[in-house]
Amino acid sequence: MDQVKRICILGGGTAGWMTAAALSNKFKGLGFEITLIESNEIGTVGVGEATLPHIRFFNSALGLDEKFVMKSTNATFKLGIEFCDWGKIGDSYIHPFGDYGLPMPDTEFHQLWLREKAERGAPRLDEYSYSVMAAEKGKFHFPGDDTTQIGSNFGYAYQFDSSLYAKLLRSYSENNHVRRIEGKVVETHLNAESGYVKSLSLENGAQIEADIFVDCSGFRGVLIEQALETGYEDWSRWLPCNRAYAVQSESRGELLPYTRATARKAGWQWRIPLQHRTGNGHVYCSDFISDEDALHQLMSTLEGPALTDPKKLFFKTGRRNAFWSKNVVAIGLSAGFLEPLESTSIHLIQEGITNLVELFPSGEIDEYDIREYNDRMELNFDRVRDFLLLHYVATQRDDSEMWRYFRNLELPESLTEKMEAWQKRGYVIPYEHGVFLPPSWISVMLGQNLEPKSFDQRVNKIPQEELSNLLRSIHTQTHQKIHQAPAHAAFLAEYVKGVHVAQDNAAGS
Amino acid sequence: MTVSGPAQDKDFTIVIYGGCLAGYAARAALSRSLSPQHMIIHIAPNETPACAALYGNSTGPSGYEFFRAVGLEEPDLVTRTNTSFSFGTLFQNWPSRSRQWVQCFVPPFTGVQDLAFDSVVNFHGGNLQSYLISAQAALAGKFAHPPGDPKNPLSRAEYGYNFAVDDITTTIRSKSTASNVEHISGQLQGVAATNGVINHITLTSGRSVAGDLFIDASGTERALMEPLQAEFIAQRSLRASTARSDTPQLGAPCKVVTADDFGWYSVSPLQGYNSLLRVTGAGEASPALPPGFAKYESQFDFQTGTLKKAWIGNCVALGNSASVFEPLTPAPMTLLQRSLKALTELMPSSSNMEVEAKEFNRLHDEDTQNASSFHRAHFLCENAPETAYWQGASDTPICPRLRRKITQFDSRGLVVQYDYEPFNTEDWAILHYGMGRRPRRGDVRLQAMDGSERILDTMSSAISSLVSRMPPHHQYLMKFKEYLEKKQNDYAR
Repeated sequence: MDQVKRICILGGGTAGWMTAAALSNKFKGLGFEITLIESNEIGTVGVGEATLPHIRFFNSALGLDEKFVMKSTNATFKLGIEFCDWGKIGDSYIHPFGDYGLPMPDTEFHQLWLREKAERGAPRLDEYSYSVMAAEKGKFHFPGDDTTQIGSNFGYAYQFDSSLYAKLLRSYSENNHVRRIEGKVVETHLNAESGYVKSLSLENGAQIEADIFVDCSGFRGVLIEQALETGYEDWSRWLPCNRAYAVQSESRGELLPYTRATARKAGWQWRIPLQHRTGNGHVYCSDFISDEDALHQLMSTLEGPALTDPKKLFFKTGRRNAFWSKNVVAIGLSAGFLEPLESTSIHLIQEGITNLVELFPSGEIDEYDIREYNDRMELNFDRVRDFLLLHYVATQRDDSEMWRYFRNLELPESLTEKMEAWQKRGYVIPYEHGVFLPPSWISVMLGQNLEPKSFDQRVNKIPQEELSNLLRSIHTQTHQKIHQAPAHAAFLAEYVKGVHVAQDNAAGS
Repeated sequence: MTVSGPAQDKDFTIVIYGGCLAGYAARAALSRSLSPQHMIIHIAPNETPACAALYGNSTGPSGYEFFRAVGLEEPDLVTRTNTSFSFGTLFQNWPSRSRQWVQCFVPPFTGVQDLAFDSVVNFHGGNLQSYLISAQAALAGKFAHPPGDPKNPLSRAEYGYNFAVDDITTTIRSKSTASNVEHISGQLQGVAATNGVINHITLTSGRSVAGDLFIDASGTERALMEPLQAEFIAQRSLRASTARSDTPQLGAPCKVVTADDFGWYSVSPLQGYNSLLRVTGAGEASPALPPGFAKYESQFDFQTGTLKKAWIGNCVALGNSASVFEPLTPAPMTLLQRSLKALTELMPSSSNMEVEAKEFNRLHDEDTQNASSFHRAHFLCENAPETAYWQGASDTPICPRLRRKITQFDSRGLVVQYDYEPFNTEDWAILHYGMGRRPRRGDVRLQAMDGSERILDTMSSAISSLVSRMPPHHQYLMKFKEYLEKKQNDYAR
């Protein structure tokens, strides 16, 4: 059987260059030809300036130095996401990349807290989370090695300029012999017998043939949809936001180690602090607000002067019926779209790449590889969807048409059960394969005022005084550690000081 | 008629019915993890049901946590019971005479150059067993506790236990003396339930016992669940026979399972004797005993299968009451442990327990599906004997999860895992390769690996060398026991 050797990636945004970088690294020495086609005429969306902690493993697997990446992309550290006005107007909470309290021998820490709060009163759960408290105080330090200790059981991610990140990965990929072709695809040729994509015709007349194509062409899905007509599963009934305005503004105030997502009447607004500017956007549903009002909402709440013209984006929430069809694998926005409320865009790209590497055809393309890839990605998308939807339905808001819409929404059963179990006894129905683990669910449910009525009965075994002393001790230790941590801005400045970045962001291979 | 419980000064009364392992384990685990505000009434018939043998004499590595949860530390197991150590199960003649492997216990494999360890071994045409120290030590009859130092090859082993269920049950009972437990020796006569909720149960003595939550630990009788019209999804009708043979010297640290035309039998080495369990088709005359065993001690027919819902109303089924497996793998013990853990975590605090029941049933369904897949995978072979037992095994349906697992392994050596499976990636990989399955293709990156053969050679040499220096199981256990007894005596003084 013939080995699939020629890989063509269509699209040079974040998804395209992340794919090129990973494949050129993982398949080094196998004699594969990797080509990436991108057109300067087609803009990139610049998806997801905020990331999840998993991105560090992606960079590390490529052998990229963290300081270099951060300097090259004007990155800041990210300890979580602050959600404002979600439960009700005036509320705010931080969804941290870390655990609450410390690991307990018999039950989860938050169960101890629930009992203490019910019986004696206790500070909010956030006060036992190193990452929440560090974020609130604008502090940052790397986690320690012993994850059973306060100040160690958390992760961190980055807020970076995704166009600079793509540029860095382009340089990395080209150094790893990825061939970049500038051009616009005007026609896709299919094999009449198999229906596989055979070649792409470019505007300049060039023909690009390959054995497998990775469609990173964005919302349009040039190969997966326009050519192969794979179909799209529309999730608008659950996540109806369908437009966004994005704009960059000058930085103002303290450089914060977290992203902010503020709920609005017909959507929500993001604020992502980078070293040199702030990224802003307003995601909204056009059924509930006009474009003009949505734009006004964004521009009138910028903290500093705008640096760019607002960019308008259109999307439909959902996913492709198949992420991999015939010899086309869709990664990035061509695979599906979930609003970036929890910074999952780049993460879902990363998941797509990781699974493609693991399931890359050994020999010819095999139906079983396709099936497995699609099963895995479906699960990823479905579970992220439920978590996003939670933000809209775990709320007391009914001050606008959009919030009233969510009040009457019939939820996926998986989400309903999760919310019921939490409200009854603070239990989080767990899963192993998915990005958001119990602490994430706890932070959103509790942060949006979904208070459990009871708690794990095992907690009653602990004598009350002992429980109070334990919680007090963890609270004190957390605050002491935070007090010792440096300010985020100072830590970052020191960390990237002296790192040389060439004009073109050349990254070592 | 006397009606006891719920006690006036208690918030919540739990009534356990069942006199074998599940009942005593539930009593011990719940009394240890719940506050005294939970009253536990344990009703145990005088006779242990025969189906207790279906717990199968062995645990995987999670047995350590299970025994601790019911109050038995490892020193108790070694000094107070006839328990021995186990690195896994040696399958022989499975299903043909030439096939043998140790289904051993290992921690997660360490990848080689980012690739799955088992796929690298297969790529080089190696035998996975040669690189698993727990398998090699089991074959050599050697045992030592795995050290913490990751540089020591033995740190790449995990162990469980071989045990006798009656012995363990008695020991748990003797150690379970919590003040919030009332023990009643008695036999069930009736269950009074309204709308699927038990009000009280009646004993043959005339006594009635009321409670907030009832636990059915009666075994395959399902004495409390049956009156609630619990649906049992039956699979196979089989016969179990047991025997024992006194031995002066403890055998290798593994259970040995041997297949033959009639089915299979296992021999578990315990301190002082070997325990035999044979499984054949229901109603069949038990075949001749293997050498060393004089006569069968008990024989009974049973049906494998599972309750569709293991929590109905205010009644929860545990152990053999919830699902019945052929005790070929450690599944019966693993599932008992997991359901007990789930029950403890989901212990309700009021009569409204719908949410808890729903989640418990979801976990029960997941666990039984996944454990059934693992069990069924042992019978996916082409060269099985053409006899009634093996025909029945291969006629058992293959669920979609197992089909995906087998398809993906056959296709490219991929071990597909679902959420929180009772058998992990390594268990599945060892089983696949042990049964002689080989993937048609491998990961494409295997072609560009550099130096992996040398890594494998070094590894297998280190394992051989260390195993040759390890003490025999019987010697190790004897010395360990002496050490523990001396320590206990010193402490007593």
